[in-house]
Amino acid sequence: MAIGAIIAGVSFTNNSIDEQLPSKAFPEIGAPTTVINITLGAGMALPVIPDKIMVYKVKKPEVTAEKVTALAETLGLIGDVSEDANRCIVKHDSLELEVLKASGRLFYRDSSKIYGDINNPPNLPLKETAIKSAKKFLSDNGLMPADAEFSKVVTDTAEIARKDPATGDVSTEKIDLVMQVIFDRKINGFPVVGAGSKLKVYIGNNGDVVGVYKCWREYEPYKQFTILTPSQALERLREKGIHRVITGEEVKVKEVYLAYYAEPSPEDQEYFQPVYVFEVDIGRGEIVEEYIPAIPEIEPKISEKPQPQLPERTKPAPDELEDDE
Amino acid sequence: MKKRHQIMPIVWLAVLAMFIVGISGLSIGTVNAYEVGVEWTNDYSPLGWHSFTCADDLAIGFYNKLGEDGWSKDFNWGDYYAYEEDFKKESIGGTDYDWIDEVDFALYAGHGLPKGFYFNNDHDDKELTGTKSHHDAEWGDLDLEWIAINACLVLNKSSDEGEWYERWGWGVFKGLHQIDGFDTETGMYCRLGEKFAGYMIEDGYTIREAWFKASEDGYPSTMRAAVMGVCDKGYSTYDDHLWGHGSVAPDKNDPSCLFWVSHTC
Repeated sequence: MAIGAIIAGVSFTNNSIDEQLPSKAFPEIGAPTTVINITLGAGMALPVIPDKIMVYKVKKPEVTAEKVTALAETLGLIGDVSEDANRCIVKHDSLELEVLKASGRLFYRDSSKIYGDINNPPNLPLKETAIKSAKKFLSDNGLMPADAEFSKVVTDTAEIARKDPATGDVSTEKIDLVMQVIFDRKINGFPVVGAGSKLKVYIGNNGDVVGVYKCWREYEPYKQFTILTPSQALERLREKGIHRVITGEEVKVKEVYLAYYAEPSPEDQEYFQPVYVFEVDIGRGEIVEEYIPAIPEIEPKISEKPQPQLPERTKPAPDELEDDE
Repeated sequence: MKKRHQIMPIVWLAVLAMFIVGISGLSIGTVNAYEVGVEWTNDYSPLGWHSFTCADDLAIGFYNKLGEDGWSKDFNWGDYYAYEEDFKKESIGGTDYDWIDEVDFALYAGHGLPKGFYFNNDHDDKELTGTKSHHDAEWGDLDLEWIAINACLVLNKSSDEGEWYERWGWGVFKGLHQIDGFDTETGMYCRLGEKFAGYMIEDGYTIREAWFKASEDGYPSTMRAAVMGVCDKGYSTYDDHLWGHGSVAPDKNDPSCLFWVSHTC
């Protein structure tokens, strides 16, 4: 553990890790390059955070053909189930239910409607109606987790641009395609962030539910761990840098909070580990999220992956069907 | 120097057979007339920007999955061998005729902004530019149907450098069917390419649907994927499938209607 602390470059922690927590569990990062000045936004204070926090062990989901078939029937989808090493899937006409074995992620959709159709724009309901429909659908079908909280409604949109061939003038038309009613999650009072924490209900024409995306891994308490202070996490962010194109010399932290990180749904995840989320204003009107693992031993080694072997670049082979010139 | 094809009758028959199989929605299987090429950049130290560690995985996952479907894997160039000029039109010194526009499906993974995506070497100026006033790219006039760009903001709806259709629309679509990218900042999910290809090949999703679903699997709901394409009547690429897995619209060399669609991941 002491050696791990040295490698991490920090000199705190009395964490005794019986079972090695995976360091891979966070979005990949690469080497920082140009030093960017990362400062706190005006009036911003770092939060007060407990010095220890629970890490949770993720329960491996039980995804079987029988269970997926039963769920499909609940959703009114009667069809044959197909299964491979990664998923079970039931399809019938335009309806589909896919459940991933790694995470238990389910994706139910009406493929003819879920992403909308620019040629046949839907009549979308008011937000309040959409929220009501979403909650009812989830509850009626046993899909509403006890710890889900309504977050927001977003609308996927399209824009059509038409150019007049004679004048070159361009006119545009905006189309609302489908609504997404999105729910958030908290563990131990802290938000869950990352691609693998999602509950979304798609609302289409006349308020119909046209899809559900749910990645909501179950968990149980594992162990308390000492974590970095917000100041220490900020220092790590300064060492790590911002993994975006930065065109200025300074970026500002707008908000900092502790959260748990959920890996993308196709991935196995062993633990819900704490992570500091820094919301950073990088200019250009963009606010991005940067994650710093909160457990000091879990500092992903930069450039851990070996440099890929690059094939030598050669000119393309002459086309055998090339014209003789 | 541009290549031109002089096809012998027996090869025409083979191509016709493949076309019939393709439009019937059947997977071609072994030999495939279609080509894929990918480029990616992990190392951005020459630009002083943050580097990635799996732009290669993202791109090569896509490349290999199409290869398994019988596509010809034409090129996989990364880091110092990923050249901006490969994407650039010939009239301004580019060589897209040998590379990006010589394949049917291309993919790039790296850094991006609304006005372009970025490379780390001097072949030739590190930025494949798309703005209201200048377009480095003209795609689809030779072969390219679709290009996926896993880079931040390239398909941002509206920016200081112009609207989406001004930066990547009329000047770029010369037979191209779709650009699949992001309206917002994005991440670098190592398996995005593999998932994207898998949804098209194994599930027969349209290209647009597969892009949206793969992005939804890999990225949080703070990000929005986007797809641009042609919507001229009779030429709409909105519901294009991968060759061999469903319908594909014919090429439109000078579209007058373009669509931009976003999807919250």
